[in-house]
Amino acid sequence: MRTRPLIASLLVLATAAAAAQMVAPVSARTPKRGGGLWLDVGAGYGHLRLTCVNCPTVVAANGRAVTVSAGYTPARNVLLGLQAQQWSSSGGSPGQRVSSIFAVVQWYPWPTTGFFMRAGNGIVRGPVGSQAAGAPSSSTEGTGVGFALGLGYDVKLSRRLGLTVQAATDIAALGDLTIGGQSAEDVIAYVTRLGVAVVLR
Amino acid sequence: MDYGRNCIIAIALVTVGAAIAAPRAAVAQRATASAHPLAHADSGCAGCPPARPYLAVLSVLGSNVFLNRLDTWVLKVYDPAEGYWTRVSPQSWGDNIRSGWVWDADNFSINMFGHPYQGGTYFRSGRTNGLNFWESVPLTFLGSVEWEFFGETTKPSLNDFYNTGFGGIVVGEMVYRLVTLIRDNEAHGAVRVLRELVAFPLDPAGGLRRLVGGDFTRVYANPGDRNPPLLALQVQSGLRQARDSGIAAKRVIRGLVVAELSYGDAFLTPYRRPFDLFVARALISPGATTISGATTIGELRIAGRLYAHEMTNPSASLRTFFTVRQKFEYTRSPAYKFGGQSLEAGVVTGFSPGTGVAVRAEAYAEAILMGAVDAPGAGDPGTPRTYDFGPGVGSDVTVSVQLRHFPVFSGRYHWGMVHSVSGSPADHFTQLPSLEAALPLTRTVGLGVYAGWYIRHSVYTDRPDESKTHRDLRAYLVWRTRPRPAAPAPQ
Repeated sequence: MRTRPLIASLLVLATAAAAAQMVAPVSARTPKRGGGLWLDVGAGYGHLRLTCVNCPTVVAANGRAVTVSAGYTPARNVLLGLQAQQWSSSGGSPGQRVSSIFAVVQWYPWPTTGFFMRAGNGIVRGPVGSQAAGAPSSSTEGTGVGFALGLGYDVKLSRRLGLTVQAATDIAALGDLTIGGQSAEDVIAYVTRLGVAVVLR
Repeated sequence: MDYGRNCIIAIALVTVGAAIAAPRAAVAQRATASAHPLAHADSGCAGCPPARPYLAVLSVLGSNVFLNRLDTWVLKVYDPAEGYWTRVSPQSWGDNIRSGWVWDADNFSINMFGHPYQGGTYFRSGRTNGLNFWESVPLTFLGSVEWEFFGETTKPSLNDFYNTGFGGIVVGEMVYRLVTLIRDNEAHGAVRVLRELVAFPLDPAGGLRRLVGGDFTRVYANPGDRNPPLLALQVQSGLRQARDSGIAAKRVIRGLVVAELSYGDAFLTPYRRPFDLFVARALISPGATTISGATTIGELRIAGRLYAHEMTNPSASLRTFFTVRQKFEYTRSPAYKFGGQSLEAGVVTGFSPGTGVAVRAEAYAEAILMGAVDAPGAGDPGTPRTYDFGPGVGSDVTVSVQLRHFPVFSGRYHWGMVHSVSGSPADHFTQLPSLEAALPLTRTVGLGVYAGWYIRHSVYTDRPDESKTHRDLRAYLVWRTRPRPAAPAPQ
């Protein structure tokens, strides 16, 4: 069951990327950057994994991740901004959410291409819940620190509009929580996402 | 894990190597100062090395391989709980990748001092290979990830990643600027060798690189930003009375030395690039630590300017700057521990009410990226870790009065809240008000006193709140260099 959203997301990603490549000629792939504001709005598949000091098993769940990023372009190959993200479980449990807001920097190491790396640091907040097999369902809330690492590729569609394929992992320390009715110490959450974003430069 | 001790041994080994090479170096080249032979024409600075990003990345990897092999082959490091933790293998790499991040249980000095120092080495791999401040930032995190996943058999720890990464930026840039000041590419002979040797313990990796690459003795131009517009050093030496951390909490009197280096001046140094202004303050006191073999540095606080914008007219009597700075803080007093990596935004303002008198105030709001606070029940029971980790917020306010550049009064108030995400389930509220006054006897020497209080209030979710107050009184002789006049600004 859990592989279905992944395959679907990958298909969407591949289709979107292929379509974008067809739309934009090779010479126009380099996104317009340097000065001004930027905005990304994206969505895709997200996978949550929870680990803790005393957890007998790793808790994992699939879901959707929606990401909105906006900021300023201080240099031709650097973007600075804020990234807000919400992951929600596809399992239907109302408590299955992880939200985050990060200060991010996006760097294009080879400015003539659309390849970029993104990193950031910020605050992450639950609630998160358990979907471990056999474990009682419960929700709990935690707020902590996290960082994001990701990479992607920009494809230009018009002068200001583009499409971005992104892959990223947010790693968040949420502290002590109650998961599945059990006390879980030093919980670390990983939200890994694959998505497509519309970019405005 | 036992990084502090290993660092010292590694530094000693490299220093011995340098000493062996010294006689050859003493036969100094007689060439006149010219551009570095590898400098690119577009580097904008005759003494600046060319940007070599790939070499910088390899240098980071080399630092980790060198340290790991030194620990494994030479030092044979062993920990009763973790065994031979540097004997890495593809199996340990795979295990670490699969397990992901954890929080480690190392002592305060290793986590809050040793790792930032280690991160500084990664950062300087970028700086010494021609990368600028921002280009060198990713290298500290890259080096940390390499070490955590592939340099140790123990699981990668999240606290190390933060402290190595963010702390490494601050320590790395500060040391880079200091060793650039100490080293003089245009000097030759015994003076040149002496300068290189003095810089070695601060920057062993860079020193080794210079030794191997020939820059140890090569005469060429200094980097353009070598000399800050103002450089001042203040040293306090005297006695300190504080409570120890024992059960009886008895008051003990110990000697102390405090050194404060001011690199640049907010009112004289227009913002050009990160850390063109920083203040580093270190307290060295015997007995500042209770763990044998660890550092006796009781306090280290480094705050460097990342960005500044003057909000007033430069000719106005009251000038104000919006400033963003990055701070590294490490305090290990006999009675408490507090440390962290933070970013601050605020204002610096100042005016001169009379001839030779300068009044300055700084106020910052602080985002604590990763803080560490010790408290009863904090940390990981049964391990050397007696403190909690977590993010937080804070504020830092300082008011000072200088009389002909001599600091006669300084008051500081630091407030912080650390939300524990590893250790006890708690929010730790800390306050550190302090007052410092000095009576100048000459233009550079005076008598000074200090009174500081550390107040911690911990709010737990599973037990009653708990508070603690510690007092720290000091009396000392203070010596301050006369601020060095501005050097010609490089174009």
